[in-house]
Amino acid sequence: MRFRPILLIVAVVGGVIFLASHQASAATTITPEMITRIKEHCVENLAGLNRLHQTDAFLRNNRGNLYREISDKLMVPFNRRVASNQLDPGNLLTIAAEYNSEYNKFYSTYIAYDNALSQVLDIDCSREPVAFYNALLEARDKRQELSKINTTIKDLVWRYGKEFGEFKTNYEKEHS
Amino acid sequence: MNEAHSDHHDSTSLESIKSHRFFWMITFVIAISLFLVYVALSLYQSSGTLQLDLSRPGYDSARKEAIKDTEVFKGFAADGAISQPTLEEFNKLYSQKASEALINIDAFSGDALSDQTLGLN
Repeated sequence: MRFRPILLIVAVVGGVIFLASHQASAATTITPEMITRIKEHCVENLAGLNRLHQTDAFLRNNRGNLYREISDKLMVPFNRRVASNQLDPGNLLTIAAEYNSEYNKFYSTYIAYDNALSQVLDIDCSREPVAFYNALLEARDKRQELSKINTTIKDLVWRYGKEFGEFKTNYEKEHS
Repeated sequence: MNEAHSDHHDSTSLESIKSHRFFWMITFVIAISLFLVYVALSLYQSSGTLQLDLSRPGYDSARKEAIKDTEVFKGFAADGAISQPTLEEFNKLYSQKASEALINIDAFSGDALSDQTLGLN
């Protein structure tokens, strides 16, 4: 019983050491040649990343509005109308729910990505190349995650359209 | 003796506040407005509005692009019967928006931040 607090402290200290070594190993993958290249391309990369930051903000607004419109002004009203007419919606409800969940992920992941990229831009790459590269790796991960979610949303848009096509065909068969 | 001294001290500080009423009111109002500004900015940051706000300095080009599309999309009505014409109407609206969404834009691809693009390898 007396050893429990000691075990807890050992576990916490061990965890901290593990995390620190993990971070350090991420940092040690940067070779001296890479550090030189980061410093050499610092100014042009910062300018490019700034432009990317702006383009992404526009893209996020543009895609976000479009995805929101598809859900709020098309999927949800159509599902409601199908339900109020007591027709079988098939997989339309499931796809719409999945779409909403992916949109929420898209929303929060973009915030995380934007914060990560802002952090990259805040670091002076000519003075802190290692910190710059580590922040860049983080931003890259977030961007890849965002790209994956974006692809899933597009896939769900396509699936809903396909499911609607089947619903329409069935309706026409039953009412012809 | 001590109690009397304390009472006297309280009454003098109260008198001091009363005689500088305008000053204290201004201080109080400034404190409240600073607190409200802090709450508003915290919400602005934590809700994600900050990241979507194109009116920030340095976002001129993104702002100009965003203003171009001002047409309001009405969408599909949630009420009413389902019939052949309503299904056709939905099909038309959905196809239009889906084609916009499925356009082959490589949005947020990892290449833009790759070592190769940034000249780091």
